Formats: sequence, C-alpha cells, structure tokens
Amino acid sequence: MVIHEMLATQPTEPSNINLSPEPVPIRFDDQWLLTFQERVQADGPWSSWDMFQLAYEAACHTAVRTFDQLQCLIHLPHLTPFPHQLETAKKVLNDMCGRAILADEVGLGKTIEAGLILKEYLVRGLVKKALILVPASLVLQWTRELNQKFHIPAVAYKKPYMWDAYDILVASMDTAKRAPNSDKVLSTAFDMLIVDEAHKLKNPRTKTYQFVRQINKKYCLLLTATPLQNDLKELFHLITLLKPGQLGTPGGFAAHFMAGDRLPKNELELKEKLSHVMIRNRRSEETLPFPDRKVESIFLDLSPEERTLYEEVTRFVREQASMEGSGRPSIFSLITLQREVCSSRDAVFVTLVNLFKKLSEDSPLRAEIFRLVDVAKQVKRHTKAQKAMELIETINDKVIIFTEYRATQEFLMRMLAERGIRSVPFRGGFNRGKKDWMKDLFQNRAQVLVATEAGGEGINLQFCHHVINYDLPWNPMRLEQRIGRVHRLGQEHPVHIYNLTTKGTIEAHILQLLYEKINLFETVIGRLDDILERHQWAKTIEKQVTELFIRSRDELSFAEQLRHFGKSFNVTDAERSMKRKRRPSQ
Amino acid sequence: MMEQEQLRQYVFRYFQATGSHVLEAGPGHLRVKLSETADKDLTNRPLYWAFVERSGMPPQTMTMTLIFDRNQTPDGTEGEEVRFGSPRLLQIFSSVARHGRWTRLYEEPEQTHCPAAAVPWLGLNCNVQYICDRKRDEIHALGVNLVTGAVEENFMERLKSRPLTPRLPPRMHVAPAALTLAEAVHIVQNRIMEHVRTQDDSWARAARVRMAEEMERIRQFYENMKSMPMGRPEKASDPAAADDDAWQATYEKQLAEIKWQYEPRIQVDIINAGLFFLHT
Repeated sequence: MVIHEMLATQPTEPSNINLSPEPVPIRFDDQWLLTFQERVQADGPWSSWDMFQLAYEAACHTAVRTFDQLQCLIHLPHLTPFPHQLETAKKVLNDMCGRAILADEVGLGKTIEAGLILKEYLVRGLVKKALILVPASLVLQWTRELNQKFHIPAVAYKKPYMWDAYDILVASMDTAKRAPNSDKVLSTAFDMLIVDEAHKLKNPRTKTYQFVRQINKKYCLLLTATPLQNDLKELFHLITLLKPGQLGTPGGFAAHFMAGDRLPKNELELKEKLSHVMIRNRRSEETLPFPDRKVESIFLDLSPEERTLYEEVTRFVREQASMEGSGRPSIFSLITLQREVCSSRDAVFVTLVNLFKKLSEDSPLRAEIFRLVDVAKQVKRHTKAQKAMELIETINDKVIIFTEYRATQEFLMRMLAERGIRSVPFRGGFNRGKKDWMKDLFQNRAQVLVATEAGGEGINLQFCHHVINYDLPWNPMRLEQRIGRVHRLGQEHPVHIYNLTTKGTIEAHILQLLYEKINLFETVIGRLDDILERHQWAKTIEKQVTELFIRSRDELSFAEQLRHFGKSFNVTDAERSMKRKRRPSQ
Repeated sequence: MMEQEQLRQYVFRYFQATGSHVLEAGPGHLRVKLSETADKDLTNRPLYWAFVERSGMPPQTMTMTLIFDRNQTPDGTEGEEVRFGSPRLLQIFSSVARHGRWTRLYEEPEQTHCPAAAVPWLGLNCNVQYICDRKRDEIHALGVNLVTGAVEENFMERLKSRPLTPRLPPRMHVAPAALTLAEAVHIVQNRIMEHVRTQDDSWARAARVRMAEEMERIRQFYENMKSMPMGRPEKASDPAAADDDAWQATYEKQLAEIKWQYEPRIQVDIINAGLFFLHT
C-alpha cells in the first residue's frame, strides 16, 4: 500500500534551529511523529473527524493571542474582582515580570490578586508547578479559595507522596521547611512560589528565610499587609529575597536609604525602587464599596442586686490590689475579676471559685470570697443579657455576640436556648475544621454565633450584618478584629454594631475613652494598617489603663486619670500621623 | 472565549462525538446519558470503572444536565451551569485533546464522478508559542501535499467543506506519496520558521534587555557581597554567606533562575495531526 512507502522515514532529530540576525531559538515538538507513524503502521486507532475538529477548536479557543492582555477573567466568568485587584494583576504580569510583593492593606483582597496572577500564568501555560506556602491555619482556606474561586486544582499537602503527585500544592511553611519535605521542595523547580504572611521573612538569619531563598523558582509572589513592621532593614531583606540587588547590598542600603531604623532618607529614590517590586493598595485611596458601619452604644442601668455585686467586687479588687505580700491574689486575676463583673455573674463565679481553690485553707480571704459568692447568688435579673435577648429578637437576622469570657458564653447560650433561639459557640481553642464547621452551622442552621474570640485570620462572616459587643475588650485591636470579621470588602450591607455597657462601671469609662473620645470607630477604617502596625501600641493602652485602675483609689479618681490619659493620647496621635507621612511605602 | 450558544453547540457536538445519548436538547440546556467514553472522562470515578472492567459487569453510565442559559430552560430544570472556564468545560477540552489527536480520513468521491486518484496530505495543527517571562500563542493549520510538497495554510478550513469518511471508499485510487512523513514535517517546520522570521521580534529584544539588566544587577550584588571584608555584620549574620563558594553557588543559581524566567524562545507544539486523502 501507498502508505507503507511513506513509512520509510527516519525520525527527525530534535531541532534547534537558529534564526539570524538576532536568532530566537525555536524548538519543535517532534515526539509526536513516532506515535503518529506507529498509528499509520498499525492502521489505527484513529480519531473521528468530529473529535479531531473539536480538539482543534478547543486549542483555538484556549490559545492566548496577546502577550499583555489579561486572560484570566475570560476563564473566571463568575468572578468580578475590584478594579485595584485587576490593576495589580496586570502590573505584576506586565511590569514586574511575575516577581512582586503584594502589600495591600488588610481586607483589600491580596489572596484574590495572587489567585488572579496564578490563574493568568496557568492559562498561558507559563506555570505548571506551583507551591503556596502559608501559615498552617490558612492551608485549607487557600486550597478552597483557589479551587472554588479560581478553578485552580490546588491540593492541601498531607502526605509525602503528594510532592510528586500534584502540580499545585498548598503547604504550611513549617511543614515544608522540615526534613524530609525540605529536601523534596529544594530539589523541585517551581514555576511559581507564593508565600503568604511574608513579613515573617524579615530576618535573613532564620531558617525560614534561608529556606525560601533556596527554593528554585521562576515567578514569586510575597504577600504581606505589613511589609514594614519595625525596621527598614526588614523591607530590605524581603525585597532581596525576591530580587537580590534591587536595593543594593545591606551596607549600601543602610548608608543610602536609612536615617534611622524607621526613618528613611532619599525617599523619592527609594520609592521609585520599591515601585518596581511592591504594590501597595490602600483603603483610603480606593473608592471601594465599603459598607457603612453603624455603631450604637447602649447604656444600661444595673439592677440593685447587680449594683451591689459590682460595688462589692470593685471594693475587693481595690483593697487586694493595694495590699502587699504574697497572700493576695495576682493582679491579673483581680483585673480579670473586675472586668468579669461587667460581663456576667457566671463569669465572676468561675473566677471566685478558682481564687478560692488557690488559697490556703486558713486564709482569711476565703471568708471574704465566700461572701462575694453569696452576693453574686442574689443576682437574679441579668440586665445585659435581657437587653441582648431583646436586641436579637428585634434584629430577627443573623447576629454575632462577642464576649471575652467563656462562662459568659455558656451563660448566653443557655439563655438563648431557653428562648428557643438557636446558637453556636465559637472559641479560639477550636481547631480549623471545627471553626469551619461552626461557621457553616451558623450560616445555615442558627441565628446567633456566640464567640469568645474574633475567629482569627481568614474567617469571613460576611453573611452576618449585626455584631453585639456583650463586653468590651480593653485592647482596641481586639475590637477591630471582631468587627473586621463582618465589616470587610464584599460585605454588601451596612454593618450594625451594638456595644452593651452598664452605666457607672469601669466599662463605661473604657468605652468613653477608647471608642468615643479617640473616635477609633471612625478613624481606623481609613488606616487600619496603621493601627495594625501599632499592635504594640494597642497593648500598651491595655496595660496603662489597667495600671491606672489599680492605682486609683475610687471611681472618681480613676475617671480623672483616664481623662488625663486620653489627652496624652491626642498628642501621640498627631505624632503618629507625622510619622506616617514620612513612611517610604507607597 | 466562547459565547454561551457557541458553547452549547460545542458541548452538543462533543456528546455526539462520544456516542452519548442526548435526552433533551433545549435552547438553554442539554440533558445527556453519557457514553462510556464520556463517563470515564467527565464523572471522575476511576474506581467504579476499574471495578466494572474487572468484574465484567454491564456499566451504568451517568446522566447529566448542563445549563447554558437559565432564561431558556424549562422551569424546574436542575443542572450544572457551564460557562467558559468552568471545570466541566476544562474536562471536555482535555477529553477531546485525548481522543482527537490522530486521524486518517478519505474524501468521498462524488457518485457521478469518475474517480481520479486521491492525493495524500499531511494535516498538522500547530501551536507556535512565543515565550519569555510572558507568552503569546499562534495557531497554524497547515497541510502538506505529499505528492508535490506544496503547503497550504488554513488547511482545516479547506477540509471543512469536504465529505470525509474514515473508510477507504470502494474503487478509490490513491496517488503514491513522493514525500516521507518526516520530510513533510520538515517542510512544515521550514514554513513556520519563515513565518516567524517575518514576525515582529521586539518582544524578544525587550525580554533580552530585561534579562541583561537583571543579570547585571545580581552580578553587582554578589560582587559587592563577596568583596565585603570578613566580619562585617551583614556577612557574618548570613550563614549561606560563609564562604565565597557558597556565594558563587547562590549567584549561579539565581542567574539560572533569571534565564529561566526571561530568556526568549519559541516552542512549537503539535495540537493534532492527520492523513487526508483528497480529490483536487
């Protein structure tokens, strides 16, 4: 047969043919010819004409015809990114050649940006093998988002065989850098490496830093909301990881760009250099559809029994705090007690019982504590809880109640159950799976989530628009984290926040100082990261307020001291905004 | 990119080509009882198929409803929405890529026509990929006349208008090929190289400039790091910088990464290939 004559062929050698004058090497795939010749020889099997056409058409539809136009959206018809996220993706693709630090402020969607970029490279066939290194608590979240939002077949790392079996793996940094995983990672060439929470890579002496540096990678995205936490050198090291030499050598950098640890010089030049490797979108600069925040502080009158309990506990705390000696309870438990008495009777109980147990049998304090327990027992009406129940019933929609105390949490859940309102608990101690489960239960089955912590990084509760602060944390950061669970990008409704406070208690003073006088509720929205970077500063507030309280003899002097403290605040506030203007990041 | 109607037609043709049984074909949806081929490629149940094959049981394929336009589906239709980029479509694309790679087809002669000898052609669909840190694709459908060596572009278009059959029609004469397959492939390669030569190569020149800049930057960086006197805190603090060899190794690794990232090159992949016996 004729065909057999055509079989007298010799397979072509792999072709590497150069063009002149500036030749770009061309490589032709010629593996296929052998297979094709075998088919000819064996007289099949052959594809049908329909299949052949379908395959050709599929290739035409998926081919990427331009270098620079973003393709990923065509493949993600259900996704509508915000303009700044698209701009970021384009910039990384076209100007930064796939190596960038994504340093948006919290809540602007760095994960979405990274997903878009990864998708784009996958669609273009420029990335096949990718590794995503994230904190352990975020592994499942990342995996889910990449799969659901981006149709990227990412897999959470679990077993060593997976290093070879899957192209796109999400692993925790700790897992990846441990032997024998580290050997596996370091012997693989990754088309793309993504590191989340990359501010942890600020110290070149750490194992993590060295590990990431040694990973063989083509494209690389480092994600962090706080590229500059303490020291300009951290920024230098981060960028050196991505593009060595971008900011020169460590010594050169220090000499040329640093006037102090946190104070840059030759700022314009530094900014220009940073703009080639780092993108930082800020809330204040984006016209983003952030929902309204409606804050309502509700002041309640304590019942006479509650008032008595509050005063008795406060007296006890002040007395004990002013005493010297080893016999008395720790300041920490005393402060806890003082704060608990603003939360619930049950919380006070638990702490009193614990104090009681710790005391030696002959301690005179035992009788005192016993008496306090008795006073607590007299409390039958729970003013705050009552109000909370009313609120929940009027809201008639999903509500999150935050409390600082476990005992209060349990008490509230009991109250809710008595009223036939379904609720689920949420605690810091829950593992990731349980947190997700509780979130699903809350979303689908229950009206109320009673939480003792803000849920940690990455838990989004955007389907809920009502937050009740049953008691107030003394650290404004914690309050911000609570609200941040629901008040974030993508929230389509105004968010209502209710602060429950009892009149004439320490809580009322705190509320006034932290959340109204300093106007934190308004200001943080625009500069959340400024606040975040000052986590330390927030902790300081908590500490200082505590000390003020301990030192003041009575309510009046405490209020006076707080007022003073508030004033000193405004000064530092002004200082901070001065400093911010001098910061180098764009 | 495909519009929804285009997508519906494509998926419909896929089901026909796999021998699936289309139960309902509305303007906005398709309900299909899958063929074995389609079931294996789309339902992701390898264990079931392994079991069926081992036990010799008659297979039960699945039925699926795909929705392309909600507004045009009967009320109460439940199914999976398919759009460009959907995982389902990706599965279909990889299924056709698997089953549509190699073909051999004959053009049916017109009945009244006295059958002349049919000419053998090699049809090659290629993806020409221009790659640096970015990438662009170009699809070429080329046909090589195996008798004369003539090359035809848009060969798939030409084939579309012909009645093609997988069986050699009775009394069909086939002209003997003057070229081997490998020779024909060479002709195609030359044609593509000619084409590439006429293309704007500014993308490659720009990529080379970027690459040179990057390389120079890290050369300077490591040069400076190496020349720093021992005991400088920056150097001492960096365990990987223990000695010059370590620096050299890191430097070379990073040079290689930059090359990997930026170096311009053209990669030509074959989408699919076929032998076609055509009347002139």
